[in-house]
Amino acid sequence: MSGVILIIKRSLRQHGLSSMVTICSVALATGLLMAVSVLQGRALEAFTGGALGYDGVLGARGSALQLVLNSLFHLETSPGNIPWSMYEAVKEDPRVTQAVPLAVGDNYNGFRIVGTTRQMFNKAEGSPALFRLQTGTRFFDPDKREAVIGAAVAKQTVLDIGDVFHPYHGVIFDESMRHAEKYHVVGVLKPMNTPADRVIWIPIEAQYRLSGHVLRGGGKTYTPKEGETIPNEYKEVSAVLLKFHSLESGFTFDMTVNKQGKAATLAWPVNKVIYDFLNQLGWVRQALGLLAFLTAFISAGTILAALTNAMNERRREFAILRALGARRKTVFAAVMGEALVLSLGGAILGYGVYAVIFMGTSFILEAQTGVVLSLGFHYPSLWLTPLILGALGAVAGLLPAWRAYATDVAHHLSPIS
Amino acid sequence: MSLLQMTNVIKSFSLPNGGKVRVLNVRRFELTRGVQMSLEGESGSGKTTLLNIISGLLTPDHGQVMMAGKDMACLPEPRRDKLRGEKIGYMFQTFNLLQGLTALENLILAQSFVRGMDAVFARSLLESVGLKGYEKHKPAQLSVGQQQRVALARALANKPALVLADEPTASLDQERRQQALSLLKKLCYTNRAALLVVSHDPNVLNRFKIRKRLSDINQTQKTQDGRIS
Repeated sequence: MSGVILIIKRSLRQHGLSSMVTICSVALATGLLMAVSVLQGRALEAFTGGALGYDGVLGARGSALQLVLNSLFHLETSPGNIPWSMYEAVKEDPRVTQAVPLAVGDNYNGFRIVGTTRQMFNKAEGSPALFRLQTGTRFFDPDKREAVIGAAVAKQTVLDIGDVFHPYHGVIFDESMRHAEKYHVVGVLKPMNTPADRVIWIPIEAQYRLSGHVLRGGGKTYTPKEGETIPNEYKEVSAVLLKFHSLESGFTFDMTVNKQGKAATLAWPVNKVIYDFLNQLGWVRQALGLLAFLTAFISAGTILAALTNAMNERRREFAILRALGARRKTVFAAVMGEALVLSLGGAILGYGVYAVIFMGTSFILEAQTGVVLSLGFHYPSLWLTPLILGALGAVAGLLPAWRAYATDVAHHLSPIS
Repeated sequence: MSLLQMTNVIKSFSLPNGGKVRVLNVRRFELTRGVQMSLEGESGSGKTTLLNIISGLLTPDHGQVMMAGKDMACLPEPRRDKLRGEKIGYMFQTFNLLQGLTALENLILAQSFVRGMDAVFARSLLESVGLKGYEKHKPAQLSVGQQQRVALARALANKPALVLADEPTASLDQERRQQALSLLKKLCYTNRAALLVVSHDPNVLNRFKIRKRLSDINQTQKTQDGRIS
């Protein structure tokens, strides 16, 4: 161990509390900077990534964002319905490779119930299977009151194969809104780490037939009756999830629906809709970034204050060291070393702060949206931030180190006789 | 052979009113190897300034300070620091031990600036001053007498050719003062280090065969209020 290390060790030991506070302040700054940067990237990837499995969403005329949030992220309310005939027309369109109807508006203990067809679970051409069943379970029979539940639903409601449940009307759980019909759980999906984990899937026909549901697909009202086939003209859907043959197909379809027609809205491409929305929140990201940078500068200020405050007391120490043979550069190095230990120690602890912030945010996001953020390791900020904080610490140490360097030895070795 | 030789050394300090006060004017002062000498001087007589110039902590305005054949006054500061570390052990009136370090660490830190840490020698020094078993004690955990002995061991940690002691026993009571002085003289003798003790205490000064008055070697004159001019 060199003398410089011994001097640093001694000082950290002597000023234990202020050293600890300084290290914590640097750790907080490092963790915040890394978390803000990585969470931004991770959230963008999660919300605009391909895991959602569809290129576009067709729905009632209105907000494309609301359509995407409601159909793919199972958030918000539906902007309205479109007639079944429109779904059938879209399904037959040569530009479309897959069209899946959705009917929403019910829940079980707050988990959304979505009526759909078996097509929902079919693997689209050229795409990996989105829905995979857990062993011993199956997809629902479209003619029965059966349900397939997402992994998060199974975990949080303790529903399992063979269990029976009553749906509730509306997307927010209200005990008084219970439907009379019972549904059997026949399938449990494997975790997908997407909002689909928080959904209960039932046959769309069965959704139409829930007590109290009235269809208005043809402009007239129709209440489904037991044992009677529902005429297609009355059926309606909340949205249709679409996959297109190509980008060009999507583009021309977009022109047809959004520019030339007025009956519906096509949200396409879905990741761009989300991306544009997140971009509108750019000021939040900038504000968070600014806050994190301010914290970094404050932590550098803490290092400066901690070292400077101790300087009056330490001038005598430096004078003694010089009298014992230490050079000016030795005491300079000792103070700079201490600043680096404080900043780099804090930066290393900052990884822990980052992990806590990341996991906390990820937990909240998953609980509210079903989107899972995994810890990212490929972000430059994860190695750049500790370096920046280390450099800031070094800069903060320069002034006190210079004061130590310039200590008047004879003057500070008093008393004079 | 001369270990230390000061010739025509003058040192002045600036006053707040812009004037200057001369505190030291030494025509000739010499110390040979292995010699033990006391130097008597009143408070404010320039004793500490003299020691600071000998150790190279201060440079004279004029004159020559030859230490082991090298002129301290002309050496660049880093080489002065090196020479001080190698040749001189400094013992302060208030001991000036570093509070956060143990007794042993105080010694090996002093060694680290010069010849590298030598814990074995540092332990043997602490043992020789009667502090075996106190190596891990911090200064605050030691009595004043024990602290004084740690300071003595530290002054010898780099095997110096000269130990400078500035009122080394001023913080001790009469009985401990004599014991400490005996130990200081004995250890300097066994470590073959010359010893220069400055003090105004007759009990200390009388213990040395070679005894000088600072006023005999310092040619500055005192003003009416007792200060040198």
